[in-house]
Amino acid sequence: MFRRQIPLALCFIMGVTMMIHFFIKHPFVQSDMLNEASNFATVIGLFAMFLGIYSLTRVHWMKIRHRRSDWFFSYLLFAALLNMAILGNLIGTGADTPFQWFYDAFMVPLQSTTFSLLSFYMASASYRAFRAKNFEATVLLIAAIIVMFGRVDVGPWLLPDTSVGNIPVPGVNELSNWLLFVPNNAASRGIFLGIGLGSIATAFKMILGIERTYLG
Amino acid sequence: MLRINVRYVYLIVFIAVTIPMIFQPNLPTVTSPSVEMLYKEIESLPRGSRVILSLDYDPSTEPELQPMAEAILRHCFRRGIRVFGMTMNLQGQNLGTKVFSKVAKAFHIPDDGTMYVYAGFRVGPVLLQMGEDIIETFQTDFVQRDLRSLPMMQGVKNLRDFELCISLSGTSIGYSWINWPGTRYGKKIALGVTGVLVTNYIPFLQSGQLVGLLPGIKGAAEYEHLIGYEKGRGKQAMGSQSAAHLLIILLIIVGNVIYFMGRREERRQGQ
Repeated sequence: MFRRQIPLALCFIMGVTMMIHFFIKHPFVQSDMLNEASNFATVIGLFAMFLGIYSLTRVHWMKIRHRRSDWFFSYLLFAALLNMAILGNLIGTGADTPFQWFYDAFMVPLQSTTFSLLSFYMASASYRAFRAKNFEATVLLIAAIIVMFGRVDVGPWLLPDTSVGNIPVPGVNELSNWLLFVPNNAASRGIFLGIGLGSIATAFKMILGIERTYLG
Repeated sequence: MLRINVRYVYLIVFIAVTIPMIFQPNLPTVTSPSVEMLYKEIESLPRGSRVILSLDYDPSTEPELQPMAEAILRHCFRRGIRVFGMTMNLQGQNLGTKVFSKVAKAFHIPDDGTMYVYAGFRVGPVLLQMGEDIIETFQTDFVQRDLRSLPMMQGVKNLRDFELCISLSGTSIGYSWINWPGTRYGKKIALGVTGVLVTNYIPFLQSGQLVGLLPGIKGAAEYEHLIGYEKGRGKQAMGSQSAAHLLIILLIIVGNVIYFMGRREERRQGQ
């Protein structure tokens, strides 16, 4: 019976608690109640971390057990997980520790490399997929070229602000800034207002128990 | 022609990015208004002011954001501004300690908690808790020293004791800085973000919710230029960035020319 009522009640209480501190300036609401609510978030966050580790371990253990594709890499994951947890907890995570060495030698280059691969995919995609097939696509393409050109040093150097007679002609940097601060800004603001209004509506529906899909 | 082996494209990108790294072309830097705004904001702070520098990035975006952190720290230390370092990204907390040590060493600043403190990461709704009590939220710095014992933190209670908050990130954490320290506690907020995120934050710059915005590695290069630090990693990266952008523009043009030539050929054969 209480499988639905208790989560709904908790959602209502916490939702209202986090909302009213914007409107009530009483010290109890501003300090004690807010701190207590924040502590709840910290505790829930820690539980979520343990749940994440459990889930990750289970998925990779099953992968090894059933010899699914690339199962060997799951052993690497366990080795890395245990290594960092043991080093961090026993010796510490500060500068000049083995934890820091593993972080600098593995984590930093691996993550940086993965992210930098994007430039290769973008170059390939720009060659094969970015087409001026219709008017809208052509506008988008021209805008993208101007912004890309204006956001690097070589752009303003090749196409600086100039003038023809008394008429000033904006350079690529000026044009790029105009595109970012005027049309892009107008569109972004509209999207943000839509997201904001949608979020408020969804939050109210959840707090009031109308939206219950999160209960599963 | 359009079905060219992508490995050739990757090879061209590799060459285009690598050559400027070796030869380091010295192109003039044109600064943007959003970068100048942050520079002027820090210039206007009196000596001894406190600033929060939150390094909210992880190793994936470190090459784009760490040069910003370095340039801002250099500016602050040169102006005698005290910096409280922290991160909202667990995976990035070991990056922060490196950048603080590096810049402090360059300025001969001892790690005694007088000019800077690096607190690292804390779990939970930290931005909300910092608005009430920073010492209670972090308790110790990254090397486990009690924050109460550090000279810079004497007299500090919460966000109100800091003049400016700067967050550097490649995620949407910037919205949280605008929402909580900015809107809830009325602090001045500046952001440094990766190139792809810039357009998301420009509306907040125009509305006055941000006092500065550093856009990607270009932002780092511009800031280095403003503080007169021309040997920074931001400036060094601009050659490769310029070459990559030029190459992508060229590939778009070439791809479109081939596409339209192919279409014309198809029409001619159809007639």
